[in-house]
Amino acid sequence: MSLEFVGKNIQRTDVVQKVTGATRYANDISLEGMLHGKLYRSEHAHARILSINTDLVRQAEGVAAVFTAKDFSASVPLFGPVTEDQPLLAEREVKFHGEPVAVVLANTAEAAQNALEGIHAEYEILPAICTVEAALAEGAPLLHAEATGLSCNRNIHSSYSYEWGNVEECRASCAHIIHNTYTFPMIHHSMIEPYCVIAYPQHGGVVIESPVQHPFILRRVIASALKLKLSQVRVIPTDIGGGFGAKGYSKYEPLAAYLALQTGKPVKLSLSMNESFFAARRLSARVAIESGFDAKGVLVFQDVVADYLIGAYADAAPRVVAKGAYLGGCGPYKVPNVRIKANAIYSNTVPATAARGFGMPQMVWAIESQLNEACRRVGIDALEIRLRNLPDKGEVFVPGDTPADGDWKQGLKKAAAMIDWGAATQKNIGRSISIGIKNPIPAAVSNAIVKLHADDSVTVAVGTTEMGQGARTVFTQIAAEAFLLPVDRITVIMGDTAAVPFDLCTAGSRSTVSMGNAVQQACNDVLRQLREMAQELELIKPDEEVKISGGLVTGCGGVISYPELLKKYLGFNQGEVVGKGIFKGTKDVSHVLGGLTDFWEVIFTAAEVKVEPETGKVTVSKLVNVSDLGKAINPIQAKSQEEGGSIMAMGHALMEQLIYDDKGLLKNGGSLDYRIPTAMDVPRSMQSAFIENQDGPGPYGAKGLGESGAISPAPAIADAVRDAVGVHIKDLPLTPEKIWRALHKR
Amino acid sequence: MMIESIPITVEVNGTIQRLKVMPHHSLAVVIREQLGLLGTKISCGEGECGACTVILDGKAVNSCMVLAVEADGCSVLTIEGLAKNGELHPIQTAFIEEGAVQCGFCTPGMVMSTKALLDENPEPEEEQIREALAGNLCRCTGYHRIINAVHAAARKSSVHSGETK
Amino acid sequence: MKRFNYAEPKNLVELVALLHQYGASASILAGGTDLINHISHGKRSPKIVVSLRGVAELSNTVIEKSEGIEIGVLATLTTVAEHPLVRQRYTALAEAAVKVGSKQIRNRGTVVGNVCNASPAADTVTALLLFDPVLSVLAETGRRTVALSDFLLGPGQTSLAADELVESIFLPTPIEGTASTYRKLSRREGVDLATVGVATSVEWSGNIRIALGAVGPKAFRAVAAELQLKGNPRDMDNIESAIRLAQVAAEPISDLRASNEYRREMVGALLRQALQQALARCKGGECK
Repeated sequence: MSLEFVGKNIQRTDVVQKVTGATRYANDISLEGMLHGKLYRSEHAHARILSINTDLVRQAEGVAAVFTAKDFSASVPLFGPVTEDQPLLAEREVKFHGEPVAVVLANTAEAAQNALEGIHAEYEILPAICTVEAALAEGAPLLHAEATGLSCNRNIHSSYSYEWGNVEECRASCAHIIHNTYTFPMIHHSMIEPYCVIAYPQHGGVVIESPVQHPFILRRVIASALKLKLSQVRVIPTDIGGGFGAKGYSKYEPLAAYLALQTGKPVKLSLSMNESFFAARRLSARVAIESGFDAKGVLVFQDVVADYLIGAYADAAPRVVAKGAYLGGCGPYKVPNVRIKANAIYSNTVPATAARGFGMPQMVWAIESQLNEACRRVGIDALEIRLRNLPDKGEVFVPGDTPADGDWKQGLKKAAAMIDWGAATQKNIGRSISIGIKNPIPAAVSNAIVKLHADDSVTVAVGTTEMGQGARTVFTQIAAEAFLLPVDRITVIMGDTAAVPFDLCTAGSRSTVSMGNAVQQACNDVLRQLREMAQELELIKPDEEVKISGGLVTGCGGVISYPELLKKYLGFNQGEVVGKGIFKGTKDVSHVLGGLTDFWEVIFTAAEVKVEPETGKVTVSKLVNVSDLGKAINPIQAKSQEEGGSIMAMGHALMEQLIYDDKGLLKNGGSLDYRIPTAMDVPRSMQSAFIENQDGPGPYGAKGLGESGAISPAPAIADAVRDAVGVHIKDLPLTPEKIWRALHKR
Repeated sequence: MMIESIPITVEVNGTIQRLKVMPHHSLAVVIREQLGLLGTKISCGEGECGACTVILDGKAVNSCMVLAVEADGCSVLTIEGLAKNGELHPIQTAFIEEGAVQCGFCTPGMVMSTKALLDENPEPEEEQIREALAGNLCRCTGYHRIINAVHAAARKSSVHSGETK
Repeated sequence: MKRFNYAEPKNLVELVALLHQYGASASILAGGTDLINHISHGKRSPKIVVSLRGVAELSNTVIEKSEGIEIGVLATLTTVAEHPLVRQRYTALAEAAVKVGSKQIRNRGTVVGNVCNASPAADTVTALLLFDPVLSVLAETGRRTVALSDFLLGPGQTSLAADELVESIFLPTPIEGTASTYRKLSRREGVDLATVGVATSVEWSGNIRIALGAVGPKAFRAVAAELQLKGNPRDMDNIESAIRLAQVAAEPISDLRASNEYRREMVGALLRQALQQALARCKGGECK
């Protein structure tokens, strides 16, 4: 099939606005009479609130209102996508450093900010828990002792166990049993656009404009927290200046909605980048993993205990743990015996949430590192051990779930070839390779509406949001291909919950497959209606071979343009043809995650590093990514997704971690001290390639991608360091000091 | 002590602006709030992210780290001043063609840093490009395609020599 | 940011009068890249910010004098890093200046500002110490000169009185043929504070100078190590002895960037690299 738009590097449809500065992000929006809110935050990690004195502030210049927990008519509403455990403002107790305690509303942001200085809070400091060990210790203080319906034993919010085969019985057959514990640090998403939300009352309800990835989940969370009907909450997502999971779930939107309803005015809460460090992070994890291999390096069993440290409130973290655990025993490999238990553990730290890779970078770090250890014991290389353990296409590797849906050995070999696998390296230079895997969100629904207008332009209405991943352009291409209309005839409307049909979320690399299918189906629905209209008008015969494309309906009897057809059928300048499409992920109530895997998101990463033994400094000189993505709808966008993800991963591999002191205070919350890679840190050579076998469930055989780049680089980089200088580090990040200490046994 | 606004005259994107600014307001704040030029972004507010980069008298600066009063008598170029008569600047075209844009939030600052670099050094080496962009954080792209875009823009400019000036 | 008044004196007389009048409640604005953060983070709350940009007598360049160079208070890090004479004769300073912050910061921030901020990790301070810098300090009562090593008192602390300003830094011409270099270790390649900074210069005669940054309350010369190397800077055993002396002189702290132990060790690693590079430059005759 020759394709006109799909598979082409079609220019990002919103890119001219972006390069000219015309794109309007949330903070660029200003409304008449808008109040600006600033948050007064806790300076303690865990403390009882004794008093909050706001008297001075209420009289201050420009201040319209001040809210603390005491200013709420009833108890402070709780919100959360999984567990409603997070208050809009801390009520009796603060549970993490930076938790909002009060909010000042003023007529300017500056007045609100200045007024914060007049607030004085008194606390009784309580012991803070900031590590897995402290949270699980006997007699540890319980963060959510008052909560009901939670398994709050020892601060464990929830546990997830998966098991197949029999781990105990197969031990004897193993030639090598390897037991290690790997740790993965707390990581901040560090999107460049900080959080910002504007809320205002409308039609007896509330409108929220915010760079939120999942407008429909936000609508549900706000409606539930504020006891509103879904129809009373309208979420309009703005263009997102970087999300990565940080902007997936509700953060300050429920508070802003409450304040707008209370004051009757538009309310804006705009945070600084530094404040964003008090809003969300990636889950840290301690993964204890025991792996058994036969003499040839084939996996016999994996026995895993993964302790994920979530924050003071659940946010989406329990789901991250459940998903991470699901593939945490096997990764992309055939493992006949698996046992995994994963815990979501509360702590007095910033709430942890979804982050690119959703629990998998932590698990893949452990699984891949175990293979790297095993190949040394067996005496084969990192490529060979992976080839011996990967399933063939069609082979089941997670019992009861979708078989391997790609030729993964092909992808692995391609990545190896791209990094000159096996070629000799110079001193202190090393290479390695790793595989990242993830399953998308199971049983998730996407709807699309496509309208063909009287002038043969098209509106595509979807709940997907645009955060730079390029969904807007991908849907444009899919619609353009369906109608064979130029891309400039297509407009994609994204996210407004009052205007577009339901979509679960923009996450998990799902949109190209799920919403892509829905859009394609909706386009086909329009084409079907055009055909029926032509038949009804007897422009074509019922059985006639008809071509509907390029703006023309062509039958034996002649040609009619879409506009002419609409005019004949509906009348001059009236109406449009509305098509609907829906994609439902494979639902299976008996499945632990609620549904089967629609596609496996698999990536192969190879890294080459140079280590300076005197200082321990690591330079990644080459990074290669090969994605098994079925079909690249927009190759340049797909490649740049993987590249961006892999540099994000290079950050957590080498330099990034949030640091809490023993009092639970965040020591490096801000751009000055939390260092992410710059243009000077990225590899000299970055290469991306695809395996395109059109074997995905999405349009044109596409699978999803976008998260995968962030999953696999850390183990490849760490093992390349080991290849270069022989040190085996199990704790990320690989700081120069850590490597130096390992090298010099200090 | 009463704090009053101070009159300044500043050329912004080729237009002379006479403004009254508060002494404590940064150039970034005045560009956005008084001139309504919202393409200049504010993120860290402490000179670390580069989202607010503008060109002040020919040099790339963080406009959050410059007091507006200091711009008195100076010329400022913001992202809005780059395209002329609806025609994109070659740097902007290069960013588009090389796929150097994702979420777009860092893009105006990146483009301005690139402009300042190429004005000063029309044929930069890779290392010079990386150094010139090190103060502009991007979390989406991994920089690779941005660096390529700067190379491409330099090539374009050498074809239409003097065009970036 | 908290409100403040702003003044742009036109000449030194006006300037020193303002500083005298406001004393500690005035903050001097040169490049602003430290000051603006200090104000917005609440570290300083001046009533008035006194800008130097309009003061006719103050220089924003590097001026060549008969016996050295003078770095004007308004000379930016970019100006100093790119100045041909600095690159040639004071190479370590040029290398240090280009490692401060980002291009945007270097286009505003000044070398004098970097010095007055008195961060123990300030790259330019470590490099400057190689070159016997003398600061010219001005107040309403008159001028004084002070050596950089005496000027620096501790983290963020200098001998500058509230009504004084540094108008320039004078660097005497190094002995013909001196080569120098600055090495920095940081958490990432681009834009970062030094975890450790080492500056070294080598004269034809075999005299060595070593300055260390981020391993004590202020950057300092490792004098004992210098003496150890004097006349015998290429002998490997002697270099190791000198490194040990430099490490003993270092009093690093443990912080977010690194532990004290690692910092002390890195003094050795960086010094080894710096010596090698400076000696190579000297040998190659680059330093002429």
